[in-house]
Amino acid sequence: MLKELKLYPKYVSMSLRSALSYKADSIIMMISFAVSEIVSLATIYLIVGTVPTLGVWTFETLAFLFGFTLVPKAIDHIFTDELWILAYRAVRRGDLDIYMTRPLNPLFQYIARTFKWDGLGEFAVGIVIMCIFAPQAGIAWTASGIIGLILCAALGVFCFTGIKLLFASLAFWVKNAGIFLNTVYDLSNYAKYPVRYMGKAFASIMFFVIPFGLFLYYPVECLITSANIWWSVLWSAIAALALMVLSLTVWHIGISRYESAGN
Amino acid sequence: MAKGRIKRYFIFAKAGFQTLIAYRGSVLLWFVGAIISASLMGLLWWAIYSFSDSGVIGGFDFPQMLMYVILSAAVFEITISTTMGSITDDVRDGQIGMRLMKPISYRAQLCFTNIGEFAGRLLIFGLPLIVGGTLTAVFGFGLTGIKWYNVLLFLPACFIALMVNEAYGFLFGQLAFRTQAMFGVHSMSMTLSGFLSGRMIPISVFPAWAQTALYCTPFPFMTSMPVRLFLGVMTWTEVLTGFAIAIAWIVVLDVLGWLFYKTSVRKVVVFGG
Repeated sequence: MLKELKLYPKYVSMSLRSALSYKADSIIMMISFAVSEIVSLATIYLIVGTVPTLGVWTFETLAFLFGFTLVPKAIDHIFTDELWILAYRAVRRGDLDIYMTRPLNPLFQYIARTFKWDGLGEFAVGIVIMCIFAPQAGIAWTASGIIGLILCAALGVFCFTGIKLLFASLAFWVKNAGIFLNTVYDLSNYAKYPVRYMGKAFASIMFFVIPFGLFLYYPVECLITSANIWWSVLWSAIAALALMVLSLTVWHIGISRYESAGN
Repeated sequence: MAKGRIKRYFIFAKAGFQTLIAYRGSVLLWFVGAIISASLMGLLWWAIYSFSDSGVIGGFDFPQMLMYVILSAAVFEITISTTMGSITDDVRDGQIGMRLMKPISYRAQLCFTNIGEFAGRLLIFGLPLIVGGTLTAVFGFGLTGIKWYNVLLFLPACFIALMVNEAYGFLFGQLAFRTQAMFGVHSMSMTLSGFLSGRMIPISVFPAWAQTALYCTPFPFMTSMPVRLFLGVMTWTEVLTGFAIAIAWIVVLDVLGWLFYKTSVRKVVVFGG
C-alpha cells in the first residue's frame, strides 16, 4: 500500500504531461462539462418555475443541492475515470494483461493511469454554485452543518467510486458492461431533484438500493429542514463502506477469471 | 445513370439496417436504458404536477406530459445520428484516407447508413415503445386527442428529424479533423440539442422570448415537432409550415456542412506504413 502511495504522484505526473500536450482538447472538455452543468441548472430553473411551490424546496435550495451533487461526482471523475473504459472495452480488448504482469495491485495501476484534470472544472462549477446559492437557500449555517456537509461529500466520492467499480466489474462476465454502468450512473442525475416526492418505490431505490439519494440528496435535505446532518454522515459512511466492500469483492472475483484476449 | 448512382448508396442503408439487426441485443439494452430514463422523467413530472394548482403545465395536462416524455425518448432513440461518431472514428483510425479514395460520396455514404439504422431502430424498438406508451397513456392515464392522421404524419416528421440530426452531426463532425477532443464536442453538441430541441423538457415551458428564438433554429424539428404532431396539439397551418421550415433547415445545414467539409478534407493527415 505504501509502495502504491509513493508511486501515485508519478502516475499523476505522467497522466498530466500526456494530457497537457493536448491543452486545447482539455479546454474543450472543460467547456463541455461547464455547458452540461449550465444546461442542467437551467432545466431545474424551468421545471421549478412551472409550479408555485415544491414543498420545502425552492429554486435556490435545489440549485444548492445541484452544486453539492457535482462535488463528489467531480472528485470521483478526476481520479477514477478509467473505470468507464473498463466497463466498455478494456476486458474485451485484453487491456488488463499488462497490469497482471507487474508486482503492483492491478486495480491501483489501472485507476492511477488516468488523472482527469478537466474534472477540476466540474468541481469548480459545483463549489461556485454552492457559494452563490448558500446564502439564499434559507439554511441556518452552523460549524457542525458545514463539517457534516464536507464529510458527506468526501464519503460520497467513495460511494460514486464503489458504484462505478461494481458495475464496471460486470465486464469480466459480460465483456461490455457500459450500458449497465451508464444506466445506473444516470440515476445520480435524479438525486438533484426532490427524491421524496417522486414516489415511495423510487425513493426507496434511491436510498437503499443505488443510494445516490442517501449521500447526495439527504445531506442537503437535512440542512434545509434543520434535521441532524450527522444522521446523514452516518448513513453515507455505511453506504460508502458497503459499496466499497461489495465492489472490491466483485472486482477480485472478476479479475481472477480474467482471460487475455490474445492476438 | 442517376438511378444506378442512388442504388449503390442503398447498399449502405441496407448495411446500416443489417448491422443494427446483428447487434440487436446491445440495441435492446440501450432501449431498456431509454425506458428507465423515460419512466424516471415521468415520475419527476408526476411529482411536479402534484404541486400544480391548475393541473396544466406548458399547455399539457399530466397524461399529455407523460406521453410527451415517452415520445421524446422514442424519437431520440429512433432519430439519433451516428454520423459524428463515424467521422470521428474514421479520422482517428486513419480510415478516412480509404473512404475518400473510393469513387463514392463520403457524405452520401454516411447519410444512407443513418437511414438504414433509422429503419432498424424504428422496427426493433420504436414501434413497440410508441404503441406500448400510447396504450399506457390512453388506458392507464386517460390520454385523449390522438388522431390516426397525426400518427401517420409522425413517421415523416421522424424522418425529417433524422435528417436534421444527421446534417447537424455532419456539421459538428467536421471538428474531428481539427481536434482530438471529440468526446467533449459530442457531449456538448448532444447536451445542447437535447435541451434546445425539447427532449429534456417541452419548449412550451421555456419563457416566451426563448420560445420565439428557438423556433428560429433547427432544434425544435429534432424532437418537439414530431412529438407535438403526434399529440395533436398543432394546427394544420403549423404542421405544414413546420415541415417546410424543417426541410429548409436541412438544406441550410447540409450546405454549411458541405462548405466546412471542403476545407476539412484539405487538413486530413493519415498515418500509414
